[in-house]
Amino acid sequence: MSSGLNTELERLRNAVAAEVFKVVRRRMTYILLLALALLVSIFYLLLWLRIREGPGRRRNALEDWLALKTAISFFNVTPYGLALERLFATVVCVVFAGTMMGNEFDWRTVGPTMGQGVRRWHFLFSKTVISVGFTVVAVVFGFLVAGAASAWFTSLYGLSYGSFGPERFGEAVASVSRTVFVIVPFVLLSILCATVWRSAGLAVGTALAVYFMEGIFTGLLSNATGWVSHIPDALLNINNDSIMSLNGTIPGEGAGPLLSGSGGEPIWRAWLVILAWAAGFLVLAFGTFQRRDIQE
Amino acid sequence: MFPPLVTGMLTPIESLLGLRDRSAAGRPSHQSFREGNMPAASGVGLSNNGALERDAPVVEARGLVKHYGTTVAVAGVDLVVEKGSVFGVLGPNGSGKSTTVRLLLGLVRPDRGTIQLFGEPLSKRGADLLPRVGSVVETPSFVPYLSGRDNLRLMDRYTPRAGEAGVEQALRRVHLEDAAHRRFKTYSLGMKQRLGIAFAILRGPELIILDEPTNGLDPQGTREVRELIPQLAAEGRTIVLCSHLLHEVEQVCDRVAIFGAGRIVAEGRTADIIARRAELEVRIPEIDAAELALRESPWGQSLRREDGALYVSGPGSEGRSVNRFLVERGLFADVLRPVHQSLEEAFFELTAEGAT
Repeated sequence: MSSGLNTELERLRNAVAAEVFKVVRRRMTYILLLALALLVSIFYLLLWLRIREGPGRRRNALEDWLALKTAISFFNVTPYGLALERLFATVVCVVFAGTMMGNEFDWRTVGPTMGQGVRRWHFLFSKTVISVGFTVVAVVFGFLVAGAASAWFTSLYGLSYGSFGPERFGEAVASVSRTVFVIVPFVLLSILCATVWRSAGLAVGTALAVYFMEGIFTGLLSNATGWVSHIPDALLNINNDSIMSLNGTIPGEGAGPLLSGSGGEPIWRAWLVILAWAAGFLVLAFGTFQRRDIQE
Repeated sequence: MFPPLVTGMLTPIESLLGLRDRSAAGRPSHQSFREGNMPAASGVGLSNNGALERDAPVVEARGLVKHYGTTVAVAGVDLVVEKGSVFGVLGPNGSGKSTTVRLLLGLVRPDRGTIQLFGEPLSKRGADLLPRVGSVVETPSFVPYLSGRDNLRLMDRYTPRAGEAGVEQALRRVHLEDAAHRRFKTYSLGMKQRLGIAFAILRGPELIILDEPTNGLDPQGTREVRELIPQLAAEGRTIVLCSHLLHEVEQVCDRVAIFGAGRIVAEGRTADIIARRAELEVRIPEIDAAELALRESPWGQSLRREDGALYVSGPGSEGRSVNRFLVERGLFADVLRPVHQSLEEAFFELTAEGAT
């Protein structure tokens, strides 16, 4: 490798190291992880309270109650825990990424950093790497919390733990990776919005609005006919559902709304659509930041 | 930096990313107050082969133009800062001086014009050149949840140069070592300013750009900064000082550029700018006779009478010549005193001229 390339790699490494320096000293990092753990725990707690009340007397109540018990068992922790994660970790990771980039403008720290010769793409690249890294950490951490919660319920009600072995471990790793994959586009969208609007609040607000509102519009369009009905196919949510369905499905309706969505798109297309959106967000973010004047 | 093959591949990418020069140099468009507008002699030396060569100016900007929408922020600025000088940048708000500083730091891209730092183009070599520059632009901004010390450590992680010892030395130099453990968000404006200066000098830069460095400092702090600047210059560093405190600039800068309406309206040695309206004050008992005589002299046109004194200016109006002129006519002055404009007076006069 030439010395020039070595120099570039060293600068890139320095930029990432500087971001790590900031992130590990940032209280927000730990608050977000704690919030994620709390959200997952509270959700499992609410399910447990519901199970404790018993099945009730309405029609199909027993089937729903049994389905819920099955859903929160350790046997189903991979599909169910990660479905929870998809919601909560997306929110947490979007906040993390949006504030990490947006605060640089809010605090006017981007000027001094760029003014000392840090290449702009190195700066944004390091933000992207750290955001994706945080997404991995958040999903794994949340999954462990979900695992602990479901193990407790499983032990409490004598439910099935499922098998333990390399195959299941491999399946869990693949499922975690898929969950990270479907969250990352929203993380990149958050970075893009922070770069365009130079504000953490606007970035987080916009990315979360897209995340939640897209589902509503997709739902509205699902009953449409003609070409309009195909619009959701090109959006993120339906394709994310398809990818998430590879993690496994929960039988019955009692598991709640988190596993909704058609998820019926061809998997290869779902990968492509999500990758295309992620790449688009990334290119736009880099293009914008590269050309933009640093004026607070 | 890269092998030719990779460089060839990078060139179009750099162009695409806006890292390459976009236009040619412009021409100077302002009043120059130095003889023949020649570079200072401090950078002249002999090369290895004995030929006379001159150090490239530390900053050389030519024909800089920057628009924001329809607003012209910088309208053809030419700026040369020689090695080792303390260069003052003056101008009212909105005159383009802060935008020019941002252009010099690569934060803002020019619409036209070129910038060279240390003799190399900023647009191509910014990542190599800017680590040799220390700067504070407007109010210093750092990560609020990090301590002063950690903020310096952070900045040194991006472009490592100073190390732990350098961080401590910079903190000591601005007398911030006792508060270095406190979070930046708890700092007073003066402490923030000190940390900004510590950041600017952190990596032992060859060029230091200070934008309003005494803003928010108490008189003691202002004095310390004013003393620090010549010290830094004595270490061989080049200083660019932007300030609206004309007295401050007059005290520490050897050269000055005065901005007005996006242009440099005057540039030159501080002493020359101050001396542009140098006059000789003559106090004499026979003032009417003296005025009559001086009206017939080569200085007659610019002669003025004010508060019981005559003010003589123009070529050869030094005290000795005027005194001889008066004595030859039997007129004996009580007082012959050179009077200079203050930089403040020059500033207002020049910026008013620039505006019209």
